[in-house]
Amino acid sequence: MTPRVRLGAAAVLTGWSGLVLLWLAVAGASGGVPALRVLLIGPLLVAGPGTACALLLRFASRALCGVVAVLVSCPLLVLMAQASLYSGHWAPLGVGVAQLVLTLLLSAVALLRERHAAHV
Amino acid sequence: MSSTATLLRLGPSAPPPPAAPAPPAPPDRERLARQAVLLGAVLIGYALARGRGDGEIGPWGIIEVLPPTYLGCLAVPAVIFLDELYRRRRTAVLLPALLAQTVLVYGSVAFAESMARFPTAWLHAGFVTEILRTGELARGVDARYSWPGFFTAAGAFAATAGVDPAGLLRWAPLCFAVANLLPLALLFRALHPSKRVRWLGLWVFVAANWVGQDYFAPQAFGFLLHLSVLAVVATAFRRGTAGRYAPRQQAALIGAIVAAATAVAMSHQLTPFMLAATLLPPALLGRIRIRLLPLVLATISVAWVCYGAQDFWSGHLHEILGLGDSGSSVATGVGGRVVGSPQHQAVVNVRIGLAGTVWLLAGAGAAHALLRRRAGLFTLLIAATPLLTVAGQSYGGEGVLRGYLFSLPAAALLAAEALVAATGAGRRVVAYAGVALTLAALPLTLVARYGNESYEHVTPGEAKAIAALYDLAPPGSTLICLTQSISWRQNGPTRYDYPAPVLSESGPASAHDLIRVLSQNPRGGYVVVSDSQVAYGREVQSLPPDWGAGFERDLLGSGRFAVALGNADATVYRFLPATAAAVR
Repeated sequence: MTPRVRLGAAAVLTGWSGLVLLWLAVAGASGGVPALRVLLIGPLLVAGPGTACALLLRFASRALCGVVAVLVSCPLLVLMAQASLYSGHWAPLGVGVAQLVLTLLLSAVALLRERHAAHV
Repeated sequence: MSSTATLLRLGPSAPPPPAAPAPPAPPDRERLARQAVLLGAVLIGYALARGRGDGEIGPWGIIEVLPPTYLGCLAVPAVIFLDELYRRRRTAVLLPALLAQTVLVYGSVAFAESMARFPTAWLHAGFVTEILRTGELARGVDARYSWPGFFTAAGAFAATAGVDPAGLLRWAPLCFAVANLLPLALLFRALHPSKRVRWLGLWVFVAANWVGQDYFAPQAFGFLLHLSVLAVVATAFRRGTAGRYAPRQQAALIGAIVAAATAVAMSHQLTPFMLAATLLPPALLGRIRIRLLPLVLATISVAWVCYGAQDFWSGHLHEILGLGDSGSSVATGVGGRVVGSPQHQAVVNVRIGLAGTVWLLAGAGAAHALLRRRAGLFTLLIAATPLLTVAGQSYGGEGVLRGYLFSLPAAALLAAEALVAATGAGRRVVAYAGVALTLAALPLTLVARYGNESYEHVTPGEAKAIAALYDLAPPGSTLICLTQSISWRQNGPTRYDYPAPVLSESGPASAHDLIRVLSQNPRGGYVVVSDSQVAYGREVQSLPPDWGAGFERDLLGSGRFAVALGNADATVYRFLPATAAAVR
């Protein structure tokens, strides 16, 4: 994956996760068309943090980036949901929002890093 | 120093400056045409199949309601894929063709049926709904609550996306099928040098995966992570890969593998042990660089069983350790499934035939690869180990299915090796015969995958009747079904009392038996009779076609049941208390 592709991917991911968080804050957990919500939020939940991690780690192979995206994000969602349930503070929406915030933070770091590398 | 270097580069002996960039190549019209045809095949297939599966489906499954033109659409990606594979091998054509093939095979039921299929998927949606509602696990109700990882994650997904868990069922199989292709592609790229073999391996996997474990279920989720772990291990930690990735990258990948193993251990009983067992022989033989990885994975799995699944293992240790009788496992898994109506037996035989063909081809491919040194021992080990684990488990018939599924990735690659070897080197006749055979096999794939559709699909009428039943029945009342083939409990498994179905292996219970069970609940009871349940008894237990009608006559004849609601697909009978029955 070239630096330019990484930069573009990080920018898209940052913008996407930021907009979704904004939408959730404004419209709440049930605003909008359900199918559209699944299409917009679902990919970020099952692959968001992992994609950001793959961008941070700068793997050359796109296929490996894709696999790492799932390999990190899905377990993270499971572990956070399990922690929420077993701690007695079951908050499924909180788990999803945490996943989105993590995506936003990690992809923002990746974006800043790639931009810095591009300027240097 | 740097100025000297600059001068040297600009001196008379310096290479000429790079030529001006070439003008962009004109769009490849032929490639675009192929992509357009593939998109058209999917769209036409969707239009042709839409709504066709909402009525009664015959004993051969979904293929009975799909029009012949759908099979034509199914052949289009196969023809384009195979043609491209033997000519130019452009990813921009192979990938859309593979995706189109996957969508037309795995999406056929989602296209044809307007309701989500498969009773177990509905129950899983019920588990998620229950956890969302209560924030607790009803461990005493079902053993699957001891492995709730997938259900809690699905709950978080549904809550954040703002959808009902049952709304995720319909398209989940297609999503899992497409998602599986990515780790498979990475795995194959690590294991085989030939692009042709790798792409054909992916196609074989799509066509030969009839097991149907890719519905909304922990095992589908576990299988995706299993494939992802295998792909990462084969890519970054196989022998000979040292130095390919930076230490921080390797550390991150190991962390991801451990996290994935933990998530799988929390989600499913069998998959984590299968993952550890699959990686054990390569580790013992030094084919992977992290030799302790299988031990770590097994430890995580055992730790979860000891902690999270304590309620379950105290009574089922033998099933978990699974040191079963290999003969009985295989007999239950294979022989025990060839039962029921002649058509159902034929469907099961198609499945066995497909599995046998893949394994035969894989055996031939393994021999060829070893002779030509084209595939390593790692591939052979991950193909064979899942099959060997089947012999040592007591998971019943499901275990054999899982053994086939977990061996299929590497087996598909080896089968592709055999096919490419057989059709290569100018053997045009063999190649054409292979293509013809492949096209003939596509309908068989639909029969093998969706041959149980007569009793696994859900009609809109049945779904409406079940929804009306839940509106009618007071919580806590007893709900009885004819057979296990009924899609309900999507609102949670604890709101009502669900005794065993009417039909057992010894045949249907009598109305008198039902009266005895229902009389024990003062909140009342209901009996649901639907077409899919009747089809299950007919196809799987060889009952006469009118056995459902006979049972309904018995119910009404007892004087203790009255029709509460119904439509063309399902009827719900209300149990009448003794006093009300006497008045009638």
